Amino acid sequence: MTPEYPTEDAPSARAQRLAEFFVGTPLLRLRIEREEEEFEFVRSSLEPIFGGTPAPALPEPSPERPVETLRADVVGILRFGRNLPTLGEEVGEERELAAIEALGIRTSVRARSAGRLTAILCQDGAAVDYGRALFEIERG
Amino acid sequence: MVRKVLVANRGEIALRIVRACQELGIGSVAIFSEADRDSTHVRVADEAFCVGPGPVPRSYLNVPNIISAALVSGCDAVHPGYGFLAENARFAEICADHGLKFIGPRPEIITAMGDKATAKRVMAEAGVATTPGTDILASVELAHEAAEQIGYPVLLKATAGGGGKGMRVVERPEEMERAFLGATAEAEASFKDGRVYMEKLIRDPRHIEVQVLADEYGEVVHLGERDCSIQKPSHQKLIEEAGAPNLTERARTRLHEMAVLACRHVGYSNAGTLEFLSSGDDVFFMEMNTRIQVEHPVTEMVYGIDLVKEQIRIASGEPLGYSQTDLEPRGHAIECRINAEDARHNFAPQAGKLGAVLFPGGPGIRIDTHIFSGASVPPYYDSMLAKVIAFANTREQAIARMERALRETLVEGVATTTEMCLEILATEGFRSGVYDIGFLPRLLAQRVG
Repeated sequence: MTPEYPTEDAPSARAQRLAEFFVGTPLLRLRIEREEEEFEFVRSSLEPIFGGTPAPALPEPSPERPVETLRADVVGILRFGRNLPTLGEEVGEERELAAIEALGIRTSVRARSAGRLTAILCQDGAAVDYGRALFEIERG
Repeated sequence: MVRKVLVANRGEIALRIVRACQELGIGSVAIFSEADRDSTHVRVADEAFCVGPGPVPRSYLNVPNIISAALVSGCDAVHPGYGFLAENARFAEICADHGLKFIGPRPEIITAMGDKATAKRVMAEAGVATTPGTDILASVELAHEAAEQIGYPVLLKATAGGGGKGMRVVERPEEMERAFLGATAEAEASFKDGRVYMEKLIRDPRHIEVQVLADEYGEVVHLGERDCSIQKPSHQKLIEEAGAPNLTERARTRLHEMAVLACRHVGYSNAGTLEFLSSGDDVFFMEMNTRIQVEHPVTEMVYGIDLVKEQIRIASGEPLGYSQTDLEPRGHAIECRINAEDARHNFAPQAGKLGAVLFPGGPGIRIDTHIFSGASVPPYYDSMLAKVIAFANTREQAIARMERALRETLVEGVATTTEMCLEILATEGFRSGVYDIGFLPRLLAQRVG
């Protein structure tokens, strides 16, 4: 069950390989911390994500494209919007992916640059703390 | 009883509060900065929330994130510990606004007693003896005028302060401007409140403080005094003991009576400490700390009462259930602070990764610490790593027990105050119990000389 940790390839490729490994496990949450890197994979059930439709096959990773991790900068409850992009979808710069509700204030979580959504790392309605990884976007 | 407590602090006091919660059978939620991710209180608490990066203003003083962590985790109470937000009345109000019980006195009491200049005025109204001093000073010019009236030397003190932060001795008028600006800047950085006041400097007094507990129904008791006169030149305490050696019975009685009188006068509730300067039979109220103190374990040892549990019980609306006549001290307790500081270089704080860590045990030894072998000591926070507490039937036995315990103590990787504490314990001045707050500065000056 232990993933063979890829050490030589780019972070996006490592995330891709770990995501594929995670999908094949019976786990609801997998967190890996190693040196400067941190990966966290979460799913709400063992059913395919998003209303029973199979999760879209992720495109082949592009090792040369840097991956940006969007993290929570406030403590609160994560809320997905109605227009949450699907995995693999291209998102534009400043696109709102979710919001964090805290003390009655809604703080948007936006893509800082255009790219492809490669990972959704938290569930809708989850309590998130500062620095919690929420989304990964492969810039391009 | 409250159901779940957010612990708004770090280090040993956070761990201390989590332990009290667990023994009371109530939930505990830790907060931590990114620099404290691997800290013991994070591991031991039922839940933990990161509230910001390492620097204090963005994490342990980040009120929105702290309150949000309490709400999303379902807490109904907040324990502030000491330092950080513990004496911030606005924080206590915000807790109340969000339906969270602040484990401490009511906000208006924190304002009246935690604000040290106001506290002195209130104490004087209650008939408690106070040192000559001023209210809050708005400018250097006013500080100059006040010092001329009171007479040099004077002490500038942060009204929101504690632990020696924002405090300056001013011997001569030409030192005033630099001292005033330094004290206000340090107070602003440490407490988000740069206001300072002035009092007459009483040379070489003893620092004696009285522990009080008060419930929300008017019952007030004292739990004796602590002698905290072994202080670094920065006025930060290094060794404390309960009770105070060689205190005259007249002074002891006055201290206890004034502490209870003061609490009754202001309608105080929860745990608190009244600090006094003592010289012979004279005692002067200095300030009140409306929170748990670092050195609270020495009182716990001689009175057999868990002060943190009492704080939670009182905040839950329970009556004390005992009165003064039920309380009788037994034995003697001494606490030594093991700080990550280089005592040979003006107690310069140390940071880095610890090597092997091994604390003593055996009869009568209590260790309150959050560190472990390989733990990191971040540069952002107070340098205290551990408190070694020795308890015995007599003061002489407690000293011998403490010396044995400190010799067993091993903290590798940073310089610590362990050897300094051993050196102090070995002096004739400490062993005889005749010392004042100038004791350690004089010892250090002799060593340099």
